[in-house]
Amino acid sequence: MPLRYPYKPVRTGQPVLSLGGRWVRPQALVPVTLVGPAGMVAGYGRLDTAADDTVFPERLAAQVGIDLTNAPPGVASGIGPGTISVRYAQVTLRIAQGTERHEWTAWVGFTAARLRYPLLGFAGFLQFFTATFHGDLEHVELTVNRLNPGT
Amino acid sequence: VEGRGITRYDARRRSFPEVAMKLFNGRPIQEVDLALFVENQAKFSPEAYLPYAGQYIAYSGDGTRIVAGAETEEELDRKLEALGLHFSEVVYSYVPPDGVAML
Repeated sequence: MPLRYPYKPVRTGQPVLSLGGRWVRPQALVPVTLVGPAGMVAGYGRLDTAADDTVFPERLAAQVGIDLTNAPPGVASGIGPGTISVRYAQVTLRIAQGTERHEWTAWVGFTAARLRYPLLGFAGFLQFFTATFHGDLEHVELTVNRLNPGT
Repeated sequence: VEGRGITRYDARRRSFPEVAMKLFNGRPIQEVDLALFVENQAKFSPEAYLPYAGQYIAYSGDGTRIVAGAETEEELDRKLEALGLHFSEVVYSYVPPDGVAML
């Protein structure tokens, strides 16, 4: 059964021209829990089909007790000039909606660069789901696929 | 299921594996139930975010309210601490500044 997440509607203070003048921007965000050896932390992540990796802010690694001292490093680039450094660690991720709950282990990146939202990209997140974005209904459905190593 | 401000698992739902109970300020930390959170958070009106434009925010673990907002994540964590909340008991998010499209 798919997990269905309504797009998060955020009211704007002015009409959004690119959306025909409506006053709300819908955002494809999914709450996800990051579990580490010392605890867990939950937050909205942004489903990003253009992101190669799943990336969280480094401060969350510290909060849940993930030691990045000897973590494999990497480099990433996105919006804006230049590149950012990331360090990779294997973590447990959880999502839940309705009666569906899923937990799996994945390699994700952590960066000291300021992220507005964690990026839920291909490696670590979208690779394990069939994601259907319903633009008309403004929700996204995630269905676990055969690659999902979790429960 | 909400009871005296404590989020409990609904017995009808399958829960995640138990993790060791930890204490914060001398009380057990209440783990966020993401399914319950999603159910309650969906009831937020779009207007609820207007006061928090451009801020990092934290929802209560049951998704019924925004407990704090701040310009930076560090300031938000300080506010949560002042409120007696552990970071594992909230759900973090961000509200884009008004008139700014997120790319």
